Amino acid sequence: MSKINVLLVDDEMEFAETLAERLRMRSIDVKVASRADEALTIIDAGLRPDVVLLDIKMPGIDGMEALREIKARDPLIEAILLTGHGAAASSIEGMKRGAFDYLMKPVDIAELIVKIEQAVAKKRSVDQESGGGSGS
Amino acid sequence: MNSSDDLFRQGQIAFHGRIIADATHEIQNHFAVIKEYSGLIGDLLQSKQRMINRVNKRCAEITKSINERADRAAEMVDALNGFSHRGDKAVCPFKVNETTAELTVLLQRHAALRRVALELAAGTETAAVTNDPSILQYLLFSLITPLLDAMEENGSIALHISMEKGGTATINIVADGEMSESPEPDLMANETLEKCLEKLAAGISLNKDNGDHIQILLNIPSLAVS
Repeated sequence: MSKINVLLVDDEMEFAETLAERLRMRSIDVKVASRADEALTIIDAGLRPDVVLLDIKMPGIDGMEALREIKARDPLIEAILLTGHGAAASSIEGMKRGAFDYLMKPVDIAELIVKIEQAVAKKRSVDQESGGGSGS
Repeated sequence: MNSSDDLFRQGQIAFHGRIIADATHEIQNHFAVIKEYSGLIGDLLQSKQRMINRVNKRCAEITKSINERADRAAEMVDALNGFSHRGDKAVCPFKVNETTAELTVLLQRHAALRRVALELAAGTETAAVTNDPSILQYLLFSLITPLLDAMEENGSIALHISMEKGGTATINIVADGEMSESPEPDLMANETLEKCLEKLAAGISLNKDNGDHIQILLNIPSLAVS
């Protein structure tokens, strides 16, 4: 399996940067965006991550709207929603709208890695079936 | 209780729910960061790299950040604990500064989501009154949240407190910044505000300058304890 590419979107930058550092130590390529519009700009610039880790509650465009925009740009990109108890209902709604899964914050790194790998396996299998190629 | 009192009470309970939900979410954020830092220390210590100096330097940075996060979480828990006790007695002596500071801490998440600075102004005087601290917090919440929701990014809301002769405390709420809309519900024509003001026997005045500068002056008197 080629290297996994993740785009992590969270306005809590210390959380995002620290989690990114830990994922990189596990050989995952991670880009971090502090806002949804920044994430969309990164995707529009040509990055095609395997998985987007998306905080639900953010200033400006929230996670649900960002999910819709990302899926509109590339339905193959998988999204894992990061949420608190207050947004659990939104996360379930998010899965109906195409999110791969959701995890409650604080996240368990081992559980997150399993979810990322499952999401990537799904994405790459669909990608192969459609005759495309993965990667950023 | 008449229906007006019922509605007021329902609104007050919803206000408590909103404050606790926002504050606990923010506390979870602090603990999420602490957990990631703690996990990162573990990852660094387990890594078989020879760059011990780099690991030591990073661990020192992380420890500092963990302490800062723990302090912020502790401040929030302290404010939340104080807030949960404000309804213990209806009318009692209390410091307006502490009561206002508590709410200011608990509204930080809402302010951060709107990217507006909300603060208790420096140099504020100590003011103590005998009144209902829970209703005062509800009044401040009812005034501040419409401002936060209406303000564009980079605005500011500062609260200045002073003590007048005769035992009346004044809270001056000064909002500076562009407003995307007129604060709704109208700051001066709202049943919750009227009820809060009535229960506190408080006075209010509002000044608007071109919509970019709003000043709300509250007078909070001392009530006789029955």
